[in-house]
Amino acid sequence: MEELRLKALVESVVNFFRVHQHDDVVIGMPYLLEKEGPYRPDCLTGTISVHGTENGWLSYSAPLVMIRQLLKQLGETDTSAQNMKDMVGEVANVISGNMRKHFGPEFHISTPVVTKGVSVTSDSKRCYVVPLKWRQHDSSIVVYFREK
Amino acid sequence: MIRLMIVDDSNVMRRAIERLHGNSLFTVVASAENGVEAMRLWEETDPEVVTMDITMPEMDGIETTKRLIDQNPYIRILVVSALNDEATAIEAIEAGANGFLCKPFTDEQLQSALEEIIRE
Repeated sequence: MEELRLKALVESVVNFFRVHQHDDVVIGMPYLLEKEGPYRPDCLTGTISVHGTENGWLSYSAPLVMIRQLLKQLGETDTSAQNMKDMVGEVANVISGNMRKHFGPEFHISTPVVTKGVSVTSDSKRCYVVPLKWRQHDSSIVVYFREK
Repeated sequence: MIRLMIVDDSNVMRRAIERLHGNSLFTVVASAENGVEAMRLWEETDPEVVTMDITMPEMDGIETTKRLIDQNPYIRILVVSALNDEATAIEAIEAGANGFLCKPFTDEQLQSALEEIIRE
């Protein structure tokens, strides 16, 4: 992954957890996705489409148990399915939106689409996975930006 | 108490902002998930201050800001967005917003930003 893209992504992720959750996240070594992973029904994924200076998408996937923790850390008592989807969508939204500082005002993001499972599909060409660890929970960001 | 309307497509964010103002200068009179709903609720509740997200379906925060200012030039609007570049902040201010706060933010930053815009 191009250095600027990785820097922008890492900065956004670290900032989100530090400010929003008052806690640090550990960023694992990014790797190129080579094959489809197993379906994870215990996870939710928030996906943001990107177009403009960069074209592609970014998704954030986390297990339900972690999303519940993220909500509680915010002081949220409603851990319904709808709110869990909302939370994972908001995480994807903030991380993507914060990348605009690096890519400029023509880095346009969509509203999040939330799905059950993890966004690991076999037609994900040249997607990078950035593993994250927060309070012993594993989650991940998968990002695909079309080559310029 | 100052009447506050919260506009954000994320229910989690709306509730987070609402919780912060349970015991403060503000009373939350409306909570909208997009600009169209914000315009409708503005008519019903006449808020004095608004926190406004930008990226929302139906009608975004910039357009909603312009329309609210058009209807009531005295309304105070704090744009609260994950889009953290300078050009977006300028666009929000030029649309009529009184302040711009980037997500993620701390409770103290939100409180301070709201107090700043009502002080003007």
